[in-house]
Amino acid sequence: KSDAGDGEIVLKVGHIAPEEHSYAKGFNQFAEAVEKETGGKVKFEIYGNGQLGGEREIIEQVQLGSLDMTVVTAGPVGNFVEEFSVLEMPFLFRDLDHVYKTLDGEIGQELMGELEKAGFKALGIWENGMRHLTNNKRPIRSPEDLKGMKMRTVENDVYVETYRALGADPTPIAFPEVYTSLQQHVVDGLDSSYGVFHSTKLYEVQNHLSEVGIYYAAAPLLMNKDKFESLPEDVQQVLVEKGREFAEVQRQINQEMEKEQKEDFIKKGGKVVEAKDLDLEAFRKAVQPVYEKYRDRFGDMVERIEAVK
Amino acid sequence: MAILLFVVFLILLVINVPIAIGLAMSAVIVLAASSEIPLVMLPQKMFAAMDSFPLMAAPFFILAGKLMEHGGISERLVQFANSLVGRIRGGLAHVSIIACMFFAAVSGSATATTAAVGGIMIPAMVRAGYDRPFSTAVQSVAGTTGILIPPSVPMVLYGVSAGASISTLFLAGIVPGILVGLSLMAAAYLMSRSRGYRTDDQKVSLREIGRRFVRSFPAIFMPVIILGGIYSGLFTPTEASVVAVVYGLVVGVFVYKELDLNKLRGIFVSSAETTSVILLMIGTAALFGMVLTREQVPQSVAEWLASANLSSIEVLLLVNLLLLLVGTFMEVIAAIIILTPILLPVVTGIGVDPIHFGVIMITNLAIGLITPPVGLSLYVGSQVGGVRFEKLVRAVFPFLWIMIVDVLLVTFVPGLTLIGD
Amino acid sequence: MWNKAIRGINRTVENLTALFLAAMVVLIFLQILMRLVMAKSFSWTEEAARYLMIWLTFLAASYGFRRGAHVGVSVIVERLPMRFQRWVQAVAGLVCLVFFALLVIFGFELMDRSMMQHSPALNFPMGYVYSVIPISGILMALNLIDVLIRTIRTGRGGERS
Ligand code: NA
Ligand code: NA
Repeated sequence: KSDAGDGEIVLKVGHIAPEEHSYAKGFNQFAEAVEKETGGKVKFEIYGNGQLGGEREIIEQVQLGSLDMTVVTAGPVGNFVEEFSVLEMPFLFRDLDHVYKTLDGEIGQELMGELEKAGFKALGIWENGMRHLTNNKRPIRSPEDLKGMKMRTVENDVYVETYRALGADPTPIAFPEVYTSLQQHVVDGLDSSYGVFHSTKLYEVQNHLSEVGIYYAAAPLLMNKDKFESLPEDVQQVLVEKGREFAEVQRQINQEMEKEQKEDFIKKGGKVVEAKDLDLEAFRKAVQPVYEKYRDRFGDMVERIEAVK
Repeated sequence: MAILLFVVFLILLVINVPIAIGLAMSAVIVLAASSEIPLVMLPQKMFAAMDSFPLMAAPFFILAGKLMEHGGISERLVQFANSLVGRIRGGLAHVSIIACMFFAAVSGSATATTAAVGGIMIPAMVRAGYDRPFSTAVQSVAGTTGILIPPSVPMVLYGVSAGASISTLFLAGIVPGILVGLSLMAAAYLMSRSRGYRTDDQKVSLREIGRRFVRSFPAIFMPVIILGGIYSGLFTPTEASVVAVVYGLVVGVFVYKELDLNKLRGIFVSSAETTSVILLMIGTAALFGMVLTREQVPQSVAEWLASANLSSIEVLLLVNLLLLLVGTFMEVIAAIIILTPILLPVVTGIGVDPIHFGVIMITNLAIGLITPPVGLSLYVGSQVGGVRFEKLVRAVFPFLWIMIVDVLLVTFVPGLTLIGD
Repeated sequence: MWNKAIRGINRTVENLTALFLAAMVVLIFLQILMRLVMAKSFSWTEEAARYLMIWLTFLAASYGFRRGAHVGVSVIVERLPMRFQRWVQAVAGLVCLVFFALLVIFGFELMDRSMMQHSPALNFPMGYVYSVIPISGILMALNLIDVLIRTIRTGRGGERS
């Protein structure tokens, strides 16, 4: 079915996002643009909504070549290419401008090069957005407010250490149990992007959201490297061009959606503490022990990212 | 390709290849024939499907059940239950269905419910003179209330896929869950009457009831700890399964003193074996499901359904039929993930509420848990109850009809599911 | 010699799986205690328990096959005349052997290609985690060959059926 003759190329894509998530919206537009630009030579078969498995599994499938392409959150990518985990250091970026200057510049190129060594061709770095703190206890304005709060996290030492440094009690809980754990108060809150917070209905069981931007969740657009190299050069070129172009489009989509999702949350009775009403300096200061412990893991990368102006 | 998949699977089934291997090998043949997916997907997909924390509730509840069975808990519990309802026809069957519904309010999965209650009740029912396949069938079927009565892992997944409120879904599942439980009790009553099941003929004195209550108190107290622990936010449903294990160990070793190291080794080994049988199947079923997805089998069926220009009643009946059909071959979670985005637009197009449809879907897939060849509750039941698969299938059959009536009620009486509004 | 070796291997694997299950209980119970009593959580207990569960699944499958624990549909084969039964059993056994061989070959490939991938919490090479798959494939094949040999000799194979 996939090699439909006439030199038509079918690329199989998997991701975990539901249709109304910015990954899906961004990818659908990217696919349309590529199909058009190649005169219909390239077609996409998209399996969204986690139909082919979770993110670690999907990255593995792209690496092993059973899937051609995915757009996936940077977190699990760090298990395949450790350098990528530097993006998960807490409060690493000053703002989104800092993020884009870093990822669209030399450092972004370097990270994408690391991915090639592991058998991936990175076509661009998209996004899931800033991760904020949510809970059902009280508004969080400074690390003081987090004291003793049970925060859900994934099993990752940097995340866990970050919450400890902020005075919270990090509690690893598997994603399928998050909703009920919040509902039944096994944990009080979590960090999440607006997109995930909204598409997984977590707002039903959380009343407070603080726009601290604890991490930036990047989302590389990955392709199996051998598959990429097997394609005709003109097709390769279109993929690379459109991958970069639609990084900007997808970020735009994501940010517009975040605005709507925020309004929707407030309309449903949620309370939002915006960045200007937060003591961000106190947060940054509090996580210094995390940097002391893990900064060396990434060579001089942390300094170089901090130096991006 | 899809036809090849089913034909090979059926042939392997007929010649008595273990189902887990039949699922894997039919998928492998299709993969090899289409040559676009490397065979390294076989171990990759198996591993990934087993790599789930909520899944861990299954081995733990299986272990807890065996500890309680061999630790003297089930015996005392049954004596007590007997003194209360032993004189009613099919009394122990009712006890075990109610116990399943009770456990369903603790666990989010059907197999965990079957394993947890079945480990205690099946041996007890057999001892009381009930036929073993019948006792096991009652457990396998009643365990499906585990995904209807909240909490429910499949409901969470549906809510995410459909963009529907999970808490509303949970509320909406309560009445259908109780409906299924009650209808199963009615069926069990009728069957017990025709078979003459009744356990104790003598009346038990009030003092004896009290004595049995005290003796079985540690067993009766266990659901209190688990339910209380979850709803007070002490632990997650999966963690609760471990608490059940530790509680069963403590009671069996230190309170009733019926467990020694040798017995424990046997219990752990046989629990590991049962776990292995179930998880291996989950692993290979995931591979089979992946091939179905990539061959777009469910999608094509749904597209045909959407294009056929039918009345809403016909569409709902057909959707039910499709879900039942898919449920025979596919595991619940995979089916939800694949079918929700395709079927939801079809049914909302004829005015069905997404919450209502979620409950319809999960009730149908609950039936899928007890239909061969892919029926996890049957596998767990046959393991826990020690009944051959085919024998269990035959014993489950009468209950299937009742559950199909339940599905029709849930489908055509929306009031049952939308009470939470 | 052969019989003794198989029995020794199976006994060891049984003990190992029992131990893994016990370790899962300890790990997750510890996770609850740490959170409730010390208000502190480990970041790796869940992952360790999950991998132990998968390891015990693959390993226990080997003695499971010997004891006929794996679910199948025997009702049709049993209605065949004795002579055909043997043949059908041999074919079914062969299908199983192919499956085990695939587990060994592609399990090894998966393991080999995942040495650079690290597990999220323990930061342990996934290749080692996957190594259980080819190892178990070999153990399953050993047990099945043993059962097949007995079936051919006596017409009866497994310990249970
Ligand atoms: Na439940
Ligand atoms: Na089924």
